Amino acid sequence: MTCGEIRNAMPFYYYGELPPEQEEEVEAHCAGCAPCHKEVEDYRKFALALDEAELGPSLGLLSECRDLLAQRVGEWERPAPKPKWWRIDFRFPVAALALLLIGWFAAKLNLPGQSQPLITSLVRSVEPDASGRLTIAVDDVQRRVINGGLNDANVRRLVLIAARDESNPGVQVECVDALKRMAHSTEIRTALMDAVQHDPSPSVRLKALEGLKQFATDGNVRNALSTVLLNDSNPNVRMEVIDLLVGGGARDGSMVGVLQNQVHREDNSYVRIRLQKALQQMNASEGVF
Amino acid sequence: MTGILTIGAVPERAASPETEIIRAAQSGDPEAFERLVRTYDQSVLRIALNVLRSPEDARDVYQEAFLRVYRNLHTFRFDCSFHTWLYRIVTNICLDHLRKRKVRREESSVLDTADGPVDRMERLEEAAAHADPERTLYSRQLGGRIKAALENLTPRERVVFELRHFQGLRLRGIGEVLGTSEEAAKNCLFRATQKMRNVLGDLA
Repeated sequence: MTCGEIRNAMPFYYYGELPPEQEEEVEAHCAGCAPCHKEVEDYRKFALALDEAELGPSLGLLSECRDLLAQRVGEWERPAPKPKWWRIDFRFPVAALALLLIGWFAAKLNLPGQSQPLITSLVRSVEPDASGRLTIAVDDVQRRVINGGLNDANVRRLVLIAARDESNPGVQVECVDALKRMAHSTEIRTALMDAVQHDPSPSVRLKALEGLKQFATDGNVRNALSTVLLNDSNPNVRMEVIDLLVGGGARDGSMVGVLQNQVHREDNSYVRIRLQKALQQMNASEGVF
Repeated sequence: MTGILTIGAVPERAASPETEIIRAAQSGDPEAFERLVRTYDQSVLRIALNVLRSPEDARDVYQEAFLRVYRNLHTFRFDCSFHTWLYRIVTNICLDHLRKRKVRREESSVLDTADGPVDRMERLEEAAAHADPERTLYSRQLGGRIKAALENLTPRERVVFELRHFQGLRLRGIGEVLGTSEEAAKNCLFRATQKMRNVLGDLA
């Protein structure tokens, strides 16, 4: 293959979409061609930058979408109202009245000069009974601002909860980013290990890996990392894990088996080359005997 | 469906294969439909956001996609995987949105606010990065550049790139989703990556 052909094959090579024989040709060529080897490295960095900038839906948007869908599915199922005056659908005027009342109460609560927390009220249902009384279900969401460091137990608890809330990956990344500076705490390290193994967002997993970097020699962390290497679907995450596992340069006998196992099932060419190099560094063969 | 979809933990139930959930939803079980929505809705919203780069459009795609699923679930015959069927619906709606947007000569993503004009996607990115001003700035710049790069792609190239890079679908699967061949999806991915790297090459 020529350098031009290698460049054209690069996206397919990176995504593991080349037939095996072409993949081997790319690998053989790159092993002896510095510019093409750099091209592979550049593509990986480009892909990593895109992963980090991936947009995750916010909790607000997801919540809005789910609520609206429930409402529209409900409307789809609801039979058309019968045009008799005693069966006039009171829901909308009643809901409007409920909102007005909430607004009035909110205004009464927010007296000038008093700092009141922001409360968002959402009317979920309004049920009139025969006597004309109403049963209104209202969700109140109250926003509070809390300042403090992770050494404050309450702040730490909130951040740990938010770090596990998969419905808001944006906030999760921020939380994991904050937690990684306190990875010397066992509780926080456990949360980071949990995130790196189970979080659906690659951005969150990559952030958690950053936090575990300084503890890459810890036995529990290494076990978690080997699980990630064997199971994670994102090649960039697997690459980072390999770097952490072999970063110290020391031969870790327990990891050789994991790397040997992975090198044969790895479908991403670039990650496979990195695994092969790691095994070479450890003076280990690729095969499992 | 009479229940309300609420944010929070999904009630724990015994692990059930997806096929059973789909069959239950097909027979009108509202809980099964809700479980199906919750299994896939973050991916659906993520695809729509990344392809359309507009929260309002992404919200519309979400509604339209799941309403189509709700109305047509009885026609799903397990000839392909459910996610292929769902992604086909989602990508078709995204492609329609992108085509309409082209007809409207690319609507402005700038929103007029009391604080002056603000880009809608910047607001979304800032919501996630507000804690660190440097990160916010970086996130805004990178987000802007990615958006500019995506605007160079055709609607189909955008969808193929999103499905391969962010959703991790194989080219064969992308072909199935788009109702085209693996080779056509491959050509599309090639053009998309070339264009993206022309604009964002210095990220490496």
